[in-house]
Amino acid sequence: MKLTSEEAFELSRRFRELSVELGNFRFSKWKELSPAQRRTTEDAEWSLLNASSDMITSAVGIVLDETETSFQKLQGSTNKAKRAIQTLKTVRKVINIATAAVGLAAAIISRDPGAIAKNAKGLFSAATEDDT
Amino acid sequence: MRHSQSITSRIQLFLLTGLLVLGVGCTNLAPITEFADISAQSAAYTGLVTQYLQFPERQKRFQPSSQHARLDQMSRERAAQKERLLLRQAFIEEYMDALGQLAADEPVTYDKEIDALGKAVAANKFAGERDAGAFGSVSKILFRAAADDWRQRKLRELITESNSPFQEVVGALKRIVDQGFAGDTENEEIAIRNYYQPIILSSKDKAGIAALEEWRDTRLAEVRVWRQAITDYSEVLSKIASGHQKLYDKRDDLDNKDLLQLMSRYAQDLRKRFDTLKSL
Repeated sequence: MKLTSEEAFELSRRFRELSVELGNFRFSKWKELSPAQRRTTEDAEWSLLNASSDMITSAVGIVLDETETSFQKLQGSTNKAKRAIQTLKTVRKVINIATAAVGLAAAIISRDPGAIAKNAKGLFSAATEDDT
Repeated sequence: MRHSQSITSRIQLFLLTGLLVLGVGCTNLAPITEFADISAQSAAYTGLVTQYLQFPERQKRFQPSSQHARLDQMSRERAAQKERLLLRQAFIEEYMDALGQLAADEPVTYDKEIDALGKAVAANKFAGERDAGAFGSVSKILFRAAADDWRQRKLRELITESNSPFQEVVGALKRIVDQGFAGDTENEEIAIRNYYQPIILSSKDKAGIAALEEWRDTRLAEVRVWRQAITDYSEVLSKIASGHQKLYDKRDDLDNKDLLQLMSRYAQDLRKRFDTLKSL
């Protein structure tokens, strides 16, 4: 039978309570218990406490499994949002390219080789600049 | 002259038409960005995952050696969960960061670029200086309005599409924190008691007992700090989830004044919690 995360957390709590109960018993009857009895009770306490911690580990794994689909969906949405942000940055790049292109067009019209080279370089930089 | 006036009139008409078509003014969603930014920073707090992973090893200090093999096994199992746990946190951070960037003014302000384009147009005699200036002004407003409208649409789409999985993922992380990580602190307290109490009960040396009690209390105080971090982080997750839900509820009215004020308050609360977390 497969446990749900809630059941696993609940079991963890129950094991913890049992461990505490045993501990309370051991300490309240400390003088009445023989060393062997104390040892046996103590071993049981640690076993129950570790069972509680083991159930926490299991529950955490189950929670992660249970929400894997939602997590995947969220990843998809985040990637879409990142693409939208990239588009916003691209708009900036397009305007920069247009500015450089205006300069190049004027240089070509004026047939100024120096200005053409300079503006062509500017256009190249605007077109290849990093978006990030 | 008449030609120039005609261009200017056309530009004014263009501007008016553009704004009417877009039907939006430029909005300032800064409080949403602020909320998203601090949410991203807070969600990224990994101190509790580290505590969770180190728990079995720490337990060895208190537990008899007969239990150590079991604790080693627990360590391995928890270590195998590390990447998935951190990935959840990282994705909440990444998602909130993307949301904040979409809400931010910065990426859609192209004023500087448009000024440069206007100047290039004028400098290269494609238009008169006055027309180029008018062109720049009109373009700035239209670009801003169009980009603003597009940005809000994308933001609305993101919030609408993500709210349900987001609530689930954040809710799941909160369950892990509230029940799993907090459960560890309770087990740690029990282990501390189980370790010190028999020694105290068996001892007849009063000074020794006092010293042991002091040690025990120091250990318990460490656990209380850890528990405080759990409470704060849990609150952080609640606020992030609740803030996102408010955005979802008002997704068609994201520039609503009350919503933006609320987002500002959420951001302030989150900042306080995060500062406490960092100081622990």
